[in-house]
Amino acid sequence: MEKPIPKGRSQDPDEERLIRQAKYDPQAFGDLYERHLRKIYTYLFYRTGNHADAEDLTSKVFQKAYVHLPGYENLGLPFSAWLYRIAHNVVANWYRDQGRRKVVGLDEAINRSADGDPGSSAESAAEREALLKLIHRLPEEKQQVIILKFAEGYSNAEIGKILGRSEGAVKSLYHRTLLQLRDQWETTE
Amino acid sequence: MTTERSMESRLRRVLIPIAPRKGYAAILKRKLLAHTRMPVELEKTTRSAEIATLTTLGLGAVATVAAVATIGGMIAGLAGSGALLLGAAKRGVPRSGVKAQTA
Repeated sequence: MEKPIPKGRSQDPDEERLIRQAKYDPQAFGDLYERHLRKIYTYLFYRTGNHADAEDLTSKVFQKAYVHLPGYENLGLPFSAWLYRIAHNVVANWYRDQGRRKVVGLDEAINRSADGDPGSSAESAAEREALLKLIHRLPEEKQQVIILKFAEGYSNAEIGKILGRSEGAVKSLYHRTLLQLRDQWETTE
Repeated sequence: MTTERSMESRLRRVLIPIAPRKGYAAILKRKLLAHTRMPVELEKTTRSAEIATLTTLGLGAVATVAAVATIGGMIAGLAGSGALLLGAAKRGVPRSGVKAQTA
């Protein structure tokens, strides 16, 4: 059985009000944008591997969201699930159109590390580089699970809502991904 | 030996939230809010109208090229006939041509 989604992240009444208002008020859309920008940007950064493409695609995601918001219906899913689906489609089209797979822009990712400690450094830089390369080689859905789980901190239930899968399916997919990464990591060491 | 747990903690260390570059958030917000939202239906209608216009222009262009080619062909035909007649006249061949020569 699926766990209920924690309140405050998905069924936030304040957000629901904001969404209704944003359908006709651009300023309210601006507030929604500020709430979700960093999450969508992080997702796109890890999917594309660099800031320039992440910026372009983030812009496309929010433009699409802005244009299509009047048609948005609350189906009990978090608003972010809708944005992630747009982001997923945008990035899938980007890969299809460009036919490219870029290596993760590791330097920039390291420079922006949360702890801000450049000295956690050479050794961890190599570790990050290797791990990000492994993640980037995963199939799309596995990448999504790993990014949503670790970079965004979502639970299996929340990832399930975003991907349109059951919590159990996400749990199993996550476990398989973890084992795959672990095995690949051991062969690189 | 890497355990699943150590792999998880490695992922947690590496996959950190990423902030956009400085100034990007504000620039994109201004750009979004400056954009006049067109209702989806209207947008579809406009797109259909654009497609219709482009199709008309395309068909028009094809028709023009065809007409020019036809006229060009006619002119070339006339010029060719003229040249033959002129050549024949210079050689003193009567206008009735080969038949007249063999007769």
